[in-house]
Amino acid sequence: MQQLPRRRVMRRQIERQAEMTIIVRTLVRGLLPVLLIFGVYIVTFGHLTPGGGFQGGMIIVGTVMSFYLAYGYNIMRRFHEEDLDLTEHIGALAYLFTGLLGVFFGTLFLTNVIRGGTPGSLLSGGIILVLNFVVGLKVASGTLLVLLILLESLQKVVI
Amino acid sequence: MQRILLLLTLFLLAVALLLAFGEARPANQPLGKIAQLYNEQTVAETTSTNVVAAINFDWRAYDTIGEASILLTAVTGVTALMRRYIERRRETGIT
Repeated sequence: MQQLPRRRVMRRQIERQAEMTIIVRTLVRGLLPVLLIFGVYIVTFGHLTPGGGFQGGMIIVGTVMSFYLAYGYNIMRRFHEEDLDLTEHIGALAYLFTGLLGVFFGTLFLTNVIRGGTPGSLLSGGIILVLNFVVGLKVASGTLLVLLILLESLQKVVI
Repeated sequence: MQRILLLLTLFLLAVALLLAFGEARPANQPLGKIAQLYNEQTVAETTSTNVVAAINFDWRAYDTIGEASILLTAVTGVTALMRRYIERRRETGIT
């Protein structure tokens, strides 16, 4: 690899992206709690109403995406790709261990062993609730990780 | 001309196949056996009121492992191919 002069390495930075107008920025900032609560609602009520882990996770990613559109790429530097990677793998492992719960209770893999509660209440559905939550975590962090890396590849580096 | 004849033959074949096998279900039994079972048994078996979620995460949860692993594979592939940009992201720091 070609050795760059030290002074130029120090000044190396990502080119600042243009922000949108203050109207769009204020709107996005105001909508952040609403959109996040809506995404979490779609995930957690997946066993009662239409929705589920995949859809709710994508809504959460869409919230972050709207922040990118309003504020430019620099806002995405608050996410660290190691954290998202870790969350994604925790989600995948939690799915498998939820499935193994059925084996521990003496039945088949991914059997709904912890069902209980009256149908229609929030704490019902057994592993459906757990798996929706796990898949939502996994979809949100995995898609956001792909998004971060692909957006980074679009940035020009100013030396 | 040949193409028109070919299309005509395919169309007639499709009509014949539809007449032979594509019968509508009888009015007193609009669902198949498995669909009827899902409709009747979902609330009793899974305590969930959303039949689609019950199929995705209970009856056919094994398929959802495959769907989730597709995402995991995609993320792994992107991070492996875009390693250069991940390193650039690390060394340019956090604002």
